[in-house]
Amino acid sequence: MPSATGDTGAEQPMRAWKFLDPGRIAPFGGHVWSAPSTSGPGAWVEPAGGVFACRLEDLPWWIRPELWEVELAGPVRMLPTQVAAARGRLLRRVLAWDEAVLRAYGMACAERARDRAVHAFLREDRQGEGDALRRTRSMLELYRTAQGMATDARTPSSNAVGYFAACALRAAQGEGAAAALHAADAVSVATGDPDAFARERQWQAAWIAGRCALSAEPVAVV
Amino acid sequence: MSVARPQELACKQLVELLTDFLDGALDESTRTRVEQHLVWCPGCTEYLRQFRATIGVTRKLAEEDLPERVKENLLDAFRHWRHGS
Amino acid sequence: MPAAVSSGGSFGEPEGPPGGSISTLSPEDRDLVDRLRSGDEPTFLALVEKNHRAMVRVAMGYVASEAVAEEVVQEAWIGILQGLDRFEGRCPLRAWMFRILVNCAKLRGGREARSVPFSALESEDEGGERRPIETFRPPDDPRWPGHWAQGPERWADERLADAEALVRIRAEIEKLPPNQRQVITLRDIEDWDSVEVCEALGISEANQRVLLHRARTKVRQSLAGWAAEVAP
Repeated sequence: MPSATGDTGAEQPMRAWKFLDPGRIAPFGGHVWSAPSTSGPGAWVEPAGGVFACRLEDLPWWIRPELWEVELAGPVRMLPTQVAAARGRLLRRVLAWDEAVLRAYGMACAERARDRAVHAFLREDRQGEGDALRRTRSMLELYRTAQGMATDARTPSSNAVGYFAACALRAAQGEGAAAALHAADAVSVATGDPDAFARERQWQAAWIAGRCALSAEPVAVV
Repeated sequence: MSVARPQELACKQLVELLTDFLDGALDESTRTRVEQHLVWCPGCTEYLRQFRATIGVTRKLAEEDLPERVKENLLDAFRHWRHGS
Repeated sequence: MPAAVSSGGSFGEPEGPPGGSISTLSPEDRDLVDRLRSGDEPTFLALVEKNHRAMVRVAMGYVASEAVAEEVVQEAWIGILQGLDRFEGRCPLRAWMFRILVNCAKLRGGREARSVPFSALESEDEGGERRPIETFRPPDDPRWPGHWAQGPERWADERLADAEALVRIRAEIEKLPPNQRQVITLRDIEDWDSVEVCEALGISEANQRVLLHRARTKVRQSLAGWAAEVAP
């Protein structure tokens, strides 16, 4: 039985999550992951460049159409936004993750960022602009309203509303990954807090995990 | 500076890295930044698609016949070499 | 009959270790060399056909015209044949062949001034061709300096399957500066790997990648306007 060592400290294979392109294709390596079946996990894949996967907190960085639960074997390296190993295999498809959920994710990130943008305007005594953002009835209308306000980037609220406009546009287009990134940037700029971006990413990861019922910790395979 | 995250790779830089990227010649950290950018940026995603497609079609240029007289000249030279002095 | 290039000794091969050399030829190369030495014509012709276009394009990097490049290639073949008996197999056959070629081309190119700069062949605007507007935001953009302002228009897949795509790519490659043309020919048409190209042309990996990148960038751009148009 292959074992995982290294930073995990555990002598057991590590579970993680992996986004793939349709057809179980690795988005950058291009190789195809073997499908699991009723009798068990997919076959191990060992591509030349190694395999990469997500801990829960890494999910927002790597969004693609398919989400899978995977198992990694061999020493697993911990990297800033992913984990790496020599080989891995697919355990199960996270069916809860689909285009509709991706769209909902983008919308949720945008709503959250809107609140922050409104607050940023209020802090600068710009009630009118804050109200205008609150009043919009669709994401596209929100985009147009925000875009109209993004004339310069001289104050936190003006700067944030520009990022927020991009967020709203992507959210309207169903492009959740881009919406989320622009949302995190908007919040970061609105608050001026150096930790805000990381906190937004954590919130985003938790949203995905909650919506898809992903277990909180990668569980060692018994 | 009003840029939210100055360390984010700009598209203009990314397109210059693509040959290195496709050759696997980027260091791990830079490659990761390229990949993360591609996750969200539709412009660069399309550009990479086009870059790859161009290479794919270029491969098809590998079918051209040797001109007959060239073939004969060289065959002459070959025979001369083997059977000559 | 063009003068043969001297290929005495272990010409074109890397320095061997003291006490004699060990051939590291692959079985395929070994077989090829044996057949050539025994006068096998089909093997020779196959080798010529496989490499001719690449050899001409590489030679064109050093001489003034395609006609001269063809002559250089033929001279190089004579040098290759004459050196074959002494070839010790310390490097792959193709690398050795191309070193001889490059030496012939450099000798020839040095003797003749380049009469027609390749750039003179180019840049008449193909009448009515639509150039797509692809721009980046300026460095002083407040939020996204260097990001796409107007991104590349999506290409129609059926355009790439069109024979016209090949015509355009070939034309654009012919217009490239010689060193870029050499590299893109060997890497992307002939499918050589990076190491082989560096050995054949005597350039570094980094330099090779810069040349390849510039060439590919121009070729992509040349397709952009045409490939983006939706087929009627």
